[in-house]
Amino acid sequence: MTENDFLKVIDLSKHFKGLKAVDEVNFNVDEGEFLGIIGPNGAGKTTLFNLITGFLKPTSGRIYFRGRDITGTKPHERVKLGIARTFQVTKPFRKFTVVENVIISALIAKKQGKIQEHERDFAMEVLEKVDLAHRTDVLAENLPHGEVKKLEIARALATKPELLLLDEPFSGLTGEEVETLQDVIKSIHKNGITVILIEHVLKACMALSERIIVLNYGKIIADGTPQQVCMDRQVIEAYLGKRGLEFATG
Amino acid sequence: MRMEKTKVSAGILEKKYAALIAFGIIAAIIPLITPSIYIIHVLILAHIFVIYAASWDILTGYTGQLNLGHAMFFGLSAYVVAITNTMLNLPLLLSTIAGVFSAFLLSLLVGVPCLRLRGPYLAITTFSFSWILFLLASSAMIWLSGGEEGVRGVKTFVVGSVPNYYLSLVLMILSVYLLYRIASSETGLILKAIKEDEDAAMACGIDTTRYKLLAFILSGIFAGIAGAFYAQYMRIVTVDVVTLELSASAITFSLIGGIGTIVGPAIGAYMLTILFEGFSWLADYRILIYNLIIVAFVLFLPGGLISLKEKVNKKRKMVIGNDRK
Amino acid sequence: MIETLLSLTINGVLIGGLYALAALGLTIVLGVMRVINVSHGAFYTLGAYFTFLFSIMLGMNYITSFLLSALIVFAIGVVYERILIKPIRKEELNVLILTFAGAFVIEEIVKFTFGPRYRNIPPYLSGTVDIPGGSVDIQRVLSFAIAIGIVAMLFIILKFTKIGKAMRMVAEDEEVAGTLGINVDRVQMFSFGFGAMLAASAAALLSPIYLLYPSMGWDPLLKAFAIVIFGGMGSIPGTVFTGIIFGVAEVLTGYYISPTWKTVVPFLLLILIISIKPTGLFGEEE
Repeated sequence: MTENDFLKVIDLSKHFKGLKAVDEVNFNVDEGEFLGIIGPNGAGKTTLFNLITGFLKPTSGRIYFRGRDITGTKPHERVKLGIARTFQVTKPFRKFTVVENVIISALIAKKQGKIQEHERDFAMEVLEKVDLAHRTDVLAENLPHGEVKKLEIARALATKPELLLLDEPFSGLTGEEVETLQDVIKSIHKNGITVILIEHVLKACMALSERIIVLNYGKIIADGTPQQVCMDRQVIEAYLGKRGLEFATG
Repeated sequence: MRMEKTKVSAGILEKKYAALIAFGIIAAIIPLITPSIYIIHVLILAHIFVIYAASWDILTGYTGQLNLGHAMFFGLSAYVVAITNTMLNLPLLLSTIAGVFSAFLLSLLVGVPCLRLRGPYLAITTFSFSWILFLLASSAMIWLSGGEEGVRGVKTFVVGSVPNYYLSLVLMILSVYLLYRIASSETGLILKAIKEDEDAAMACGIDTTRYKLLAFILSGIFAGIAGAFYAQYMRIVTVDVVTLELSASAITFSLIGGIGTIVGPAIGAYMLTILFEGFSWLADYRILIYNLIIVAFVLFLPGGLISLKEKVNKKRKMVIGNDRK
Repeated sequence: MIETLLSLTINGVLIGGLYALAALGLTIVLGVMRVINVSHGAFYTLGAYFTFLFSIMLGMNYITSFLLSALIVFAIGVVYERILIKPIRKEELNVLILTFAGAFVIEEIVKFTFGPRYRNIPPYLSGTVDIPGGSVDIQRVLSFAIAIGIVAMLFIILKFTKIGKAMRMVAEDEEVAGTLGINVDRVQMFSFGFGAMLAASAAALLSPIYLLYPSMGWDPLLKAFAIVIFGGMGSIPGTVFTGIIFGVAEVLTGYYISPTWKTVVPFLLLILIISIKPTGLFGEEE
């Protein structure tokens, strides 16, 4: 294990009642990379996220972050190390205002010495970044769906992460919302944060990712640039089924 | 936390302190104007239950960990004070420390397994703990608890109603003040985040285990303080202190005042204790009325009385907004 | 020695079957509605008192009384769900608090109606069966058989009937069930009534064994909780098995240790187990 490895996943498996949700998965992520993870429903994408962020314990395998074995650590410890996430099914603090939602993360980051300024000021900065500053004092439960998605990202950003895992940030958004959010995510990545993105909206994922991993039945079936992955026979088969493959290849 | 928003809220803050000072003054002169020892007695009980209700709120109202058996902390502390004081002849101060300490230990004993539990599992576990205590006190360990007869002859710190009144008043104000300070600090905000969504709180980097345990401990200790004071004031501890009814009344007080506000449960406890202890002809129907009130509040005013004030404020704001137009 | 043990065990099994029945009601409501019904014990109390009302006060025969009280408690459960639970079902904390208070309300109403004193229902069937080491009442054997019959019926209902399938689907995924055209509200209302009825049936069968008093419901409620947790939420075989284990453990503790400890031990065990494995003995990890 070298210090240079940013995120390294080795032989990672998670079984539920005999079902192999994630099955012997291996991959590396370099610092500054933008990795997309795609796959059909039930391919194990979210389970993989839960394993990387510590919300689930793996059945076997190990996870290293910056050369450090983090396999047994708890979610909050991983946040401290710099791994943040959003949830596919959004989980805002509903009775909190938008800024209070973000302040929670900022408070913890401040306690850990990651930020110097006042947590409220920092939270406002983050809200600017995701284009939510005009909603500061609105209760989270009154936000429209698109903005809740942004709030999730803001809350994750306020933990000052080095690695950001986004679980389907585009789901349920309108075309226009997808575009603005795409810009937000792009700029986050530009600011030096490594991003892993799970996405169903393939177009957005292809546009943003430098590299894509395809999961099917818990296994990695392809790993490469968006172009390479698109051409992959197995991938097309997984997405369209055998018939689709015959159709696609004539 | 520096969360001051506008001058309007500063005004509300001043009002709050004004109300508190007014209450303090009235409370301080009551013994001077009433000849009735009975009224004083009811008010002392009210003070004790205020602490008890507020201590329930810091756990359940703030972190959302439903505690259905809060009487266990109150009751254990009361029993330990009574037993160590009468049977082991410990000085009352030591007994009191032992009582509060036992409530602290119990909060660890209950809290630690509860950290891994969520929702119904947790509620059932707290329920079971208090039920065990009740079974022990009412039958299995009757040789120690005295059952219905209770443990008698506990010593008191001060003699007489009026001194006890002032002592309980000071204790109540201190306890509620401390709990309120904690609840409105960063810690309180973090606890509320856990109540809103535990997963999201973890994703924000919160060590939810630590904060939940902290809430358990605070809750146990303050309930223990209330129980210890009760034991020395009443001078007798019976099985009443560990009943399900007492656990339920923590919920009633809080729900009526307003869960998750510390002040709300305090107000609820004060009002209801006076209402029911003061009108003794209601006593037979107390449990029925208490619980009908809970049902009604859950259905129609889940935010408690304190939410009425917010509603009024909101309406006022809306009126102001319309004026601007 | 062995024979005493055997006889005690058989008695434990007979009682445990009835505990399982009460616990099943709780499990069903939990599974289908994702709600913990703290009033469950109060429905148990109601079942016992209605049986008392019909069989003792009105002089009907035992079986009629049993069926009538089960039906009435079913109806009460349905109304209870519709008026009190449905409006707040999504808020777990509020449901717990409301059903906790609801239990006290029912208890107090029972107290004002029937009085606070102990009542008893004489055995509906006399006579004993000889077993090694002693004998058991025929009545207990019959009650156990009825309980097993009800459990079997429940199993068949869930497996093969339309309402049973709907219940399982709602338990699996409410939203999907809704999109498939199942009337989720109605299924949940029915399930709640059904759960209440199971509590009442258990009470009717146990009432010739135990005394009746207004707060009698808390003990079986807590036992049912414990059984549900031990048995893993939502598993019928797990619940039945655990219920029987509970009955046996209780009878053995009562005989070998002390009668006053027999009610405490199950809860000590519960807390021990729950601390080690929070999802129960038969429960799956999330």
